[in-house]
Amino acid sequence: MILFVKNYPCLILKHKNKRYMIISDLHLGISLELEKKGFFLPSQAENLANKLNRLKKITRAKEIIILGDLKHNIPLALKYEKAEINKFLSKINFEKIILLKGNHDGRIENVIRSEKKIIIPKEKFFVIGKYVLTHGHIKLNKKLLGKNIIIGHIHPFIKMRDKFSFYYEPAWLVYKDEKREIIIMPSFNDLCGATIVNEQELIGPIAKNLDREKINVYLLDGTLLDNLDALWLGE
Amino acid sequence: MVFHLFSEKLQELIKKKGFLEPTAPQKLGIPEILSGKNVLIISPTGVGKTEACILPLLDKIKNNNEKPIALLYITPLRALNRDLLDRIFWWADNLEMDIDVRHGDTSKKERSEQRENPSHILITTPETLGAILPGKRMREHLKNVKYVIIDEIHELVENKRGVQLSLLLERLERIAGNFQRIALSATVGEPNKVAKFLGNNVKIINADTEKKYEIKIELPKYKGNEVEGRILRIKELINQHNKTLIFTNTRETAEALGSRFKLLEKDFQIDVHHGSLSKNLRIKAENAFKKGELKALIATSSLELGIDIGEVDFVIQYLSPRRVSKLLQRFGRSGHKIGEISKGVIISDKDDLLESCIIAKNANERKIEGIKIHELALDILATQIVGITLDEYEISLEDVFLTIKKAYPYRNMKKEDFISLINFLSEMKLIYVSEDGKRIKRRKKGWKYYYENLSSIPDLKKISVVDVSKNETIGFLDESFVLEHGEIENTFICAGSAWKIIQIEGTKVFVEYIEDIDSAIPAWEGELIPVSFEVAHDVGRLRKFIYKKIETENKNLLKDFLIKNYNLNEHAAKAIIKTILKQKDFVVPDHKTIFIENFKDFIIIHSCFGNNVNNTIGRYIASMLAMTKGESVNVKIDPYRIIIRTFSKIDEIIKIILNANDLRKVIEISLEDSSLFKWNFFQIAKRFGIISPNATIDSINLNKIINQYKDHLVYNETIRTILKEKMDIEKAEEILNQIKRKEIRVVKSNKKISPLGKSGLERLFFDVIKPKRPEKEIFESFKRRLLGTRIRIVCMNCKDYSISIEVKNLEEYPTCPKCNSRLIGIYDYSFKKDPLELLKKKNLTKEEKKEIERLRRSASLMITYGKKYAIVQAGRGIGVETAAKILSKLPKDEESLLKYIYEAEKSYVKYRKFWKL
Repeated sequence: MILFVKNYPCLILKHKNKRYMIISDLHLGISLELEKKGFFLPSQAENLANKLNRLKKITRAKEIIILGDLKHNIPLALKYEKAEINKFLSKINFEKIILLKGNHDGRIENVIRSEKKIIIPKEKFFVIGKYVLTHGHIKLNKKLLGKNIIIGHIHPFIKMRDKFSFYYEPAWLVYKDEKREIIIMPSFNDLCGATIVNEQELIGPIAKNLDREKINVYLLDGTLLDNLDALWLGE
Repeated sequence: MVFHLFSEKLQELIKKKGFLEPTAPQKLGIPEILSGKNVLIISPTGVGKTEACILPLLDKIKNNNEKPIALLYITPLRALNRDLLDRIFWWADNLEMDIDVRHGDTSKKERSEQRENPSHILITTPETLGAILPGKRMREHLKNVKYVIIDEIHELVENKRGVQLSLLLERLERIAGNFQRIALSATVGEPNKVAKFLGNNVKIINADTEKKYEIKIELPKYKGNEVEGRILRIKELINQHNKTLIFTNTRETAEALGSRFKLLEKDFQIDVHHGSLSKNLRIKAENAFKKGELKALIATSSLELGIDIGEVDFVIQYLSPRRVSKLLQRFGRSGHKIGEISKGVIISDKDDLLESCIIAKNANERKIEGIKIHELALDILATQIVGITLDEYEISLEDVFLTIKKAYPYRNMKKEDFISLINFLSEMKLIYVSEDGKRIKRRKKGWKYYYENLSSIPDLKKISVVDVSKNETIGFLDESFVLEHGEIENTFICAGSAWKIIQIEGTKVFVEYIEDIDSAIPAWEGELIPVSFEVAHDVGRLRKFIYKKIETENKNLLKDFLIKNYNLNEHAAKAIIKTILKQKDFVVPDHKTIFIENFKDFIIIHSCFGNNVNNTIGRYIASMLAMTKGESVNVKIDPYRIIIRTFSKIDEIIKIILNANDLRKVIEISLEDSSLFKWNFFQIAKRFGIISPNATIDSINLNKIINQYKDHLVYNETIRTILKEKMDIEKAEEILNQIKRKEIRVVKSNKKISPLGKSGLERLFFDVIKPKRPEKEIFESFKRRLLGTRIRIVCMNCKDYSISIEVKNLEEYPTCPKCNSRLIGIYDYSFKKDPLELLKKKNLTKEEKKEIERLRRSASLMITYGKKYAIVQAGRGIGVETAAKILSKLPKDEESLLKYIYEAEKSYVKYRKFWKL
């Protein structure tokens, strides 16, 4: 069963008396990119780790699954970024950490220096009960595609406008047809760039070409807006 | 006579210069300065106040044979230095003393010369003092400073530059020890505050009593175009005098006036002078005017300070000067000679006539605006603490704390705030903190940061608006506007038309013309200086006075009274009476009467409380509206009006006013999303080193940064700055209380727009106040979703009819086309089986029985409520029971039904930590 944590880009997957916390897209090291543009930020590792530890208390989950893009800079992690990643991993208090590699995580194994139990599945996906978890940038085989899927990768935001202003809100996308559902998670780090999902096409082999009418858009607090086709502002 | 107090040598020079009698500031100031006291001299320009302070100090330096640099002369404006240099040079030279000028443009060679061979007197700016303090060699020379003069201190006390100077003086004192502080000021509202700002035990010398002002107020008569009428009158006045200075309130107006004159007469001897022009152009204009090649010069505040432009015999203020202190400074530029009367005219327009009257009258009575000093500004303090580490390499925190507390704006500094600032600077790697946390040390990154942040004047870039279809610049936007609204596809109004943003590149915004002017936001440019509460209040009082007189007296008598009492031309007096006569058909708003009217989607609140109070109340009302309606609201204020663009009713606004509460909190919350906040944050974050000085405006990244620094020092400093400069919460609360106590009455009208309302709408500069969440939009999508939900209906009577239909297409009370029965049930989609099959099936399972039971219950609710029931049950997570509960509230129409369902959906997730699909 899936529980969405209210007001957080985070969900809990309950399976056989276990609670797995699932988050996606941390992009540690993204502040270096902003720094190049002249914007300086406090350590993201610390803020995000604190946020996660608070969530752990709320949800009582003991294991965490990160759906990819733990690091940001490609191809290599810069020195600061390495420090951030290891600081982050040392600060979060989970018994077990499963990292499903995203498109930013190539050679992440070489970066991590942690004594904690960190599992990085080679196949880049992980199955729990009826759900397949993966970042969203790789193809899945037919059998897996028939299951329910949870991905990140897209950083969905929904755009709204009223008479005098625009608004951008992070959003959950939930695709549903007769057979399966696909959940697309908002990014855990709000410094990341965004896909404006009611203006831009969804990217990645799993999300691309999904029928917009079958995708429901939820705000972080659980408000169901409408299906993506009805909310569509693009061409 | 005071000159006898000087050495014989200096007395001789005074005779040589031809000074016979000391002027007021000299007579009063010289003995005090000679006695070594800290002194604040208040006097208008042109009465020898520079000599009043410089002569006794030169004499002392000479007699005591003091080492250079003995005297620092600090002025707010670079341009001032050259003229001063000429003036002081004569005295210094004859007393065999050297003098130097140091500012940002001083060449490397000169700077090294000053380092090797310092002069007795150094003329500089506050920023340059900041630049030379950490220099090793310069600090050796600065040790000898015995006297500091701050010229035009009134230009500094109210802004962050001044706050910075107050800390710089304390840093200087750590190097030089105690020195004598002398400041010169134009006439100000609260001399005591300025004195405290300057230092301890300051003797105030008020030498302002002599100056007389003769100020006329004119509304030029015109045929056709009003602006042209004003220009022709200005031309006439210029021709009647030798040399005329014309002051405008903004650079845009100065430029516009200049070009109008050129259109009128190509070779008219007039030029423009303002801060956006290059230094060369400015100096050229100054010199041409000085030499008499120009008959008139159009200027902004750039010429208020004592730049030498020779004799001026007439001053014209174009439109209301908005502040009494401004008027005194500007008109003080004429009749520069001692005992002469300063003469001038305010060329007013209809809307600001009364304001001009009040300001001119208050000027002659010296009723001047109070002084507002920035207290505990943390951005300035951050730079200065880093500066201290550069001066001294390493220093104990206690010493730093005691030093800054000596500066007046930081006298109430709390230790914990100080420590958190120190921690921040250490996090930013700008200083080192020792392990025991008791000492701080300079750090490499600190140098760059310090020198990048010496200037506390925000640099305003102008962004040009380019029409892509013609590749033509159609106007300019403030950088701050682009910061807030500069997103592709946004629409705004510029040069009278609506435009859509296509692309943004550096300092250019490319736009495309659009028809839809309604949804576009007007771009606000160049903000005007605020009109004080007192002036606006007095304008209200004067309105009331005139209104009463109109009721009881002969209009000609009233006209004559106004002409005589306020020095008006006849046309102006007539216009004042005419406006009030017309307004009388509605309500004449005054200092005790708030008048609210409605025009299209504008609500105009007439409130004579000045910019800052109106800004506070206006933002409060707009925030409350945005919050309750869940959609953005446009608000605009001027000293006499708050204009809100909304479809709310007047009564809703009155209710908000009467129940006003917790102003600060409400305003703070909505400020966060405003362009005002973002712009100030951008500037302040730069001074904290969070944004590099070269970073270009980028609204997406700026929003991210703001989110990261919520509740941080930089965030709090931004709020503090805005509340200090743009708002007056205390006064606004007082006004709202007076409204609650009915000491101020609120009157509304639903007639068509009043004359005073109309003139308020003429200048359209609005700011957008956003709700935290676009509730209204969210509700709209909810509505669309709900009414578009597909349901399957089944006839429970004949069990032979079943269709799938969108809720919105359902009849009010659906009937079965086959058997005409109204017993129509709604089938649960998640139940996969065909409903008709299910109804006919025998030997039902437990679940199937339950579903049929549910169908029956839904059919009976359909009979009672019809379509309404269908709508309700389409809500997310709403079962038959909740649906029945909502319907029993008997919503009066579909809209209120939808609101109930929306609330029910919300409460479904409200009290839970988790939500499910």
